[in-house]
Amino acid sequence: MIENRPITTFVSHSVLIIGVALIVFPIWIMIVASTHDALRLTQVPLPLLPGDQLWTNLKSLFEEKDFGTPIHLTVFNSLVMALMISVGKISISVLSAFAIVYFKFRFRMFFFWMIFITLMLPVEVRILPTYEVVANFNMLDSYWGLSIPLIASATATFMFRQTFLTIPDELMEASRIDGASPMRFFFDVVIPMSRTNIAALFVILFIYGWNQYLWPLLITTDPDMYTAVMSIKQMLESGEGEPQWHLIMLTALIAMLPPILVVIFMQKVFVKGLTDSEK
Amino acid sequence: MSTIKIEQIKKSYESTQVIHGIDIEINHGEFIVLVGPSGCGKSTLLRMVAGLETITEGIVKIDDEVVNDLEPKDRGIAMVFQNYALYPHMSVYDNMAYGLKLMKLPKAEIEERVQQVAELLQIEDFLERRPSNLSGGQRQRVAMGRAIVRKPKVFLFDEPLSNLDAKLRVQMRMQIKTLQRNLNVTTIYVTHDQVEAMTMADRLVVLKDGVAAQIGTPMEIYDNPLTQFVAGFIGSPAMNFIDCEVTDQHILIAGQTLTRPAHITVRGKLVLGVRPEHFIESQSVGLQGKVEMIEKLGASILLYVSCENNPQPIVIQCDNNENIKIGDSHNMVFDLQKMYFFDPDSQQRVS
Repeated sequence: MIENRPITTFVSHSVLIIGVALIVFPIWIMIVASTHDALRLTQVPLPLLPGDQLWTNLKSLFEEKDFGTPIHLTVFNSLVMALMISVGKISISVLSAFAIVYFKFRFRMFFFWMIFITLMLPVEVRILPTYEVVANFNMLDSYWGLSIPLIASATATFMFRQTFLTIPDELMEASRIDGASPMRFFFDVVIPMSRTNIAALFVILFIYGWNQYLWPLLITTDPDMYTAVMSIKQMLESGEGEPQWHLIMLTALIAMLPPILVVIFMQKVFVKGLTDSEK
Repeated sequence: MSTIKIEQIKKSYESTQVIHGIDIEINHGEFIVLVGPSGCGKSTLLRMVAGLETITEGIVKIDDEVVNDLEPKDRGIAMVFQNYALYPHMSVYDNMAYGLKLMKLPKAEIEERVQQVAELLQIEDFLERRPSNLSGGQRQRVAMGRAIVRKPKVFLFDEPLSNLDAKLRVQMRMQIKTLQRNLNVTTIYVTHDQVEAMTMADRLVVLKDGVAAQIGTPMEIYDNPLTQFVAGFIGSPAMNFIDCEVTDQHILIAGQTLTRPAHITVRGKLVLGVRPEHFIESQSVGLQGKVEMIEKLGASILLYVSCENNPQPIVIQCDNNENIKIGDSHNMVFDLQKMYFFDPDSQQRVS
């Protein structure tokens, strides 16, 4: 259907522009705020144009502060946590989906449904028992403690199961005749054929891991283990003085960057993984 | 030398039995075609020989070695699948080399073997391409190449031509047959297409409902079908079946009375089977009917002649004849030597 009605074009464009503005404006404010000094941000009206304090603010973020951990440490912690979660989630779920799809064992469907049911239980529901377990394993204030409880993933298992079901059985049979063991088949055929799905899932899981807030907040007490996202909150509550808005905004800005980079660089595979598959 | 022996093989899925004890003995270099309607168990039988399906009962021997419990790769077989089952993420070369790599052959030998087979099949120009960039016929040849490079004792084909268009199918049919003869490898080939079966097979196994209805060379089966099913399944266009009653003097057929030819010794209510190509031009009195439809095939035509009291029109193949019109009455004379009688209850041939 091709339509060429100016009013429709005008309306639809306005709607889109308003939508974009609603999303972009807060981000713009954030960028602007991060380039001014503390004093300017307490005055009304708030600045709408960038200032010249970006470099100074950035420098103070990297120095040890009485109100928080230096930003490079928190970003590094976040990065480690997000990578451990996404890599761990993918490896475990891809293997369990492989088991469920390609092997016949007793209670196969039972296990599948067990995994599936956990979809309905978010981290927050099981947070107390999980904390107990992690504490007993002495994993508080460690990267393992940050990532392991978040690694098991029903969503990813389910998604990989669906992907594997679309791989024709004949491929498995052909590889059996070629003499491939199940794990050879897994690495030589299944993994390469689901690589776009893996990439797409990686993007989603990385952002999921990066944005974790409640869990890191609970199990880290050592400031050296704080993650970027939770450090923002820490800065808000810190001390008796006024919140350092310019620094908070800059931290938020920096915390946003890695997910954005991941999305930009993996966008092609990401879209391909979610839409088509060359089968 | 590689022979296959299938002895009293049976297959059940839970409580339903799909194969009811089949015996086949296959000589070295033979091209055996398993043919039958869908659901007759022909693919299951092939897959049991391949080792992709467990054997419920019975024995499969390759070269006098029982292979029931061997993995597919240890049976010395290679298989071509209906949808080719090429690895989509590998190049043609890698597809063919994959099995050899897993056999841990030296790289130089793999390359030599693949190159050789690629030349044989004329696919050496696209060894670097992915299967998705190939046409159906090319994919088919790659699938065959993957089977040939393994230098197997036995080739197994599971309806390999059914995804090709009619013309290509005829071409590939000849190629596969020639290739098999040159390589002299024992072959089991599954198809539901009786033309493929007739043209390619050294021996045919006609399967029905998990039972081998008849085993023999194509011409044996064409000339001497043992049951009504086999008679109807082999031969194209299919054989006509007409209810009749043979008495001492007459044959009562479709409400008409014909004189009983002297050599017909059977008596009673029977089913007469006559192939469309076994009617003759003759002045003698035959079965009378009315031409209902004419199909022109070019060199010959098919007449669909209806008789009163006979539910199915009778199909007759005769030379192209412009004089025959729809609605004409037609005198059908049987070739007396080519009349088959079947028992209506047991479906067995009587003579």
